[in-house]
Amino acid sequence: MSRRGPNPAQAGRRWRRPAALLLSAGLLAFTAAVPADFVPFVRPAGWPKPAYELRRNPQTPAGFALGRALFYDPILSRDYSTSCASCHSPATAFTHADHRTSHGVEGRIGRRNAPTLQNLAWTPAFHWDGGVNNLEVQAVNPLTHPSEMDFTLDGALARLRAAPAYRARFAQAFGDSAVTGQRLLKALAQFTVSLQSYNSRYDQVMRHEPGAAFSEPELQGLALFRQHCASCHQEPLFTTNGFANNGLAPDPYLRDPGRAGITLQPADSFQFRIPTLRNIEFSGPYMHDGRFRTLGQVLRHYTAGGIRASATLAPQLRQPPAFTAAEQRALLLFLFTLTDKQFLQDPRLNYVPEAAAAPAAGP
Amino acid sequence: MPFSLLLQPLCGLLVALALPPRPAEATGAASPARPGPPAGLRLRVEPVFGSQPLVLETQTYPTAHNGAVSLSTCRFYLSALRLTFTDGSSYAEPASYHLIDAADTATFSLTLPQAPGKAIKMLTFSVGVDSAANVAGAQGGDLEPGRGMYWAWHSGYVNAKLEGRSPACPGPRHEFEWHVGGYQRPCASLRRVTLPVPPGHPATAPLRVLADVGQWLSTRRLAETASVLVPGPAAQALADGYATMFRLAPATQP
Repeated sequence: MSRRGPNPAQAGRRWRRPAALLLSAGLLAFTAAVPADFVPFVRPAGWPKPAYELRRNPQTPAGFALGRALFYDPILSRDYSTSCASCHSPATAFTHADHRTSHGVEGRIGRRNAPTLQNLAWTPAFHWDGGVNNLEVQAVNPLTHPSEMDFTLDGALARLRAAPAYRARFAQAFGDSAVTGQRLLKALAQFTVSLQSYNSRYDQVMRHEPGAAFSEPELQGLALFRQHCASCHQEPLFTTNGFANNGLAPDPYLRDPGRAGITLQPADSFQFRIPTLRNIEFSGPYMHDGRFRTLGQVLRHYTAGGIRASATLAPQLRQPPAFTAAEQRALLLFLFTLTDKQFLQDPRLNYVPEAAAAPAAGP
Repeated sequence: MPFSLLLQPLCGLLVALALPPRPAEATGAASPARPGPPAGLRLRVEPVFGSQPLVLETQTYPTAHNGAVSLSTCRFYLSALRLTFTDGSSYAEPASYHLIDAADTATFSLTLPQAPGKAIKMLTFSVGVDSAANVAGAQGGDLEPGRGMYWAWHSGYVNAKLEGRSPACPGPRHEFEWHVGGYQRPCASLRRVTLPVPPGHPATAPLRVLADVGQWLSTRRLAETASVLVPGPAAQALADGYATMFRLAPATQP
C-alpha cells in the first residue's frame, strides 16, 4: 500500500533539525533543552478527553528517555532475557508478531495475546479483562508475572540502583538519584503514553490534508465499517474501551472467563476488552488468544458462521452481517488505511543504544 | 532530599509530603475551628494478641474457636488519621497512609508533626487504603506497589494481610491466608474506626493504639474461612472483623 505524505523515517529524522521544531508550537517554550528524540504527548484535535491524568506525571525529555531505556532493557526480567519490547515491538504497533500468546522467561507461554500499545492515554482499564485501572500500575503485571518477566519490583529496583547510568537517569528525570518503584512506573508511563497513532491515511483524510483521499473501495469499506463494526470499534480510537463477547468459542484448554474473572459476574463471562483496530494490518495474530493469524480469518469469523451463540454474546452479533467477497475486500482495504507508518517507524520510539542515550554526567 | 532517607521504611510520611499531588491532600485539615499552632503528636500502633505482645512464628496463642494459632504475617494499612479535640476542632493528617508490619517494629511509630497540642477527644482512622489512592496510579512511600500489599492483576491495595497456622485450618499444612482488599462497591473493604480518648489524657502525650489480632480472629472460624484472597463478600466480612480489633491503651509518658 502506498503512503501519501512525507517519508516517515525522514520525518522522524527531521526532528533533529532545529527548523523542524517549528512543527510543534507547544515545544517552543523549551526548545533549547528538548532532545530531538523526545515525543511529547499530544491530544489530537477532536479526540475525546484522555483517561490518563498526565498532570500527575508531567512528561520531561529525561523522564521519557528513562522510560524508553527501561522499556527496551531486559534488566527488568529475572534472568535478563525479556524486556517489555520482547512482546511489544514497535514495528507491529508494539505487539508480538507471529505469536498467538507470547513467551517470557525460560520460554514460558502466557495465556493471552499481547495487545498493541497505542493511544494508551484513552484506555480506562488495561488487559483483556480490564483488571488494571491505571497506565502506571500496568507495568507491575508483566514484571512480576511468572510467564512474562518473573521478577519482583524490589529486585528490579536493586539492579537499577546498582547501575550508575540508571541512577544518573533517575536524577535527571526526578531531581535526585533515588530509584523507587513509583519513579520506575512513572518513567515507563511517560514513555508509553507517547505511543500514539494518529497519522494514518484515515487520519489524514479526516483532517482534510492536501492529497489525502480514500479510493472508491476504501470508501465503500468505510461505509460498511460504520454500519457493522463501529458500535464497538468506535472512531477515532477504534474502540469504545468496553468489553464484549464476540462469539469466539471458549478455548477448553485456556479456560479464560475474560471480564468475569475480575468482576465475578456471570453476565461478564467471555467478555473481553474491545481492541483498537489501528495498525491492524501489522498487529496479528488477532483476538485475546491470538487464534486468528490473518484478517481474512477474522472477517470469516464475523460473516461466515463463526459466531457462537451464548448468553453473553454481544447483541450486535446475534444477527451477524453477511458480506460478499467484494464487501470483505472493501472492508479490508479500509482497515489498511488505519496503518500509521509514521508511528510504526518512528525512531524516537525505538531502541536507542546506550552509548547514544547515556546522560552526559552523573550526579 | 538525601537518597538514603527515601529508602528508610519509616519515612513514608516525609516522602508523602515531598511528592507531587497525593489523593488525601485534597481533604487537608478540615475543621470547624482553627486547629491552633502545631505541637506534634506521636502514635504507637502495636499489634497484640489479646493481652500479650504479638510474636510472629515462634509463639502459639490458644483461642476459643480456632485452636492454637500461630501467625507468620500481620500487615495492615492505617489511613486518613484524624484527631478530634475537646473544643470541637479537628486535625486531619495530610497524605495519611501508614503500613504497619508486625515484623518491623519501626513501622509501629507514627508522628504527626503538625498536630496542634490540644486535649484530644477521639482518634479516627481508616483501616485500608481509600479508593482515590487505589486509582491514582503509581504511589510512593508506604503505598509503593513493591511492598507486597498491592494486587497487580486486579489493581488495588491489600488493606490487611494475616497469615498463619492452626489445627482448625483445613488442608495438609493447616495454614490460613487472609488478604483483604477491594475498593469498588459493592466490595469495598475500607473500614472507619473511632477510638474515644479517655478524659484527662495529657494533650501531647503519645497515643498507644493496640491492634488485637486475637479479637480479629475471634470474629471468624478458620475451619470455614481459611483462604480469602480476592475482593468479595468473604473479604468484606473479614473487614468488618478488623474494624473491631483496635483499642487505646494507657499512654506511656513521652
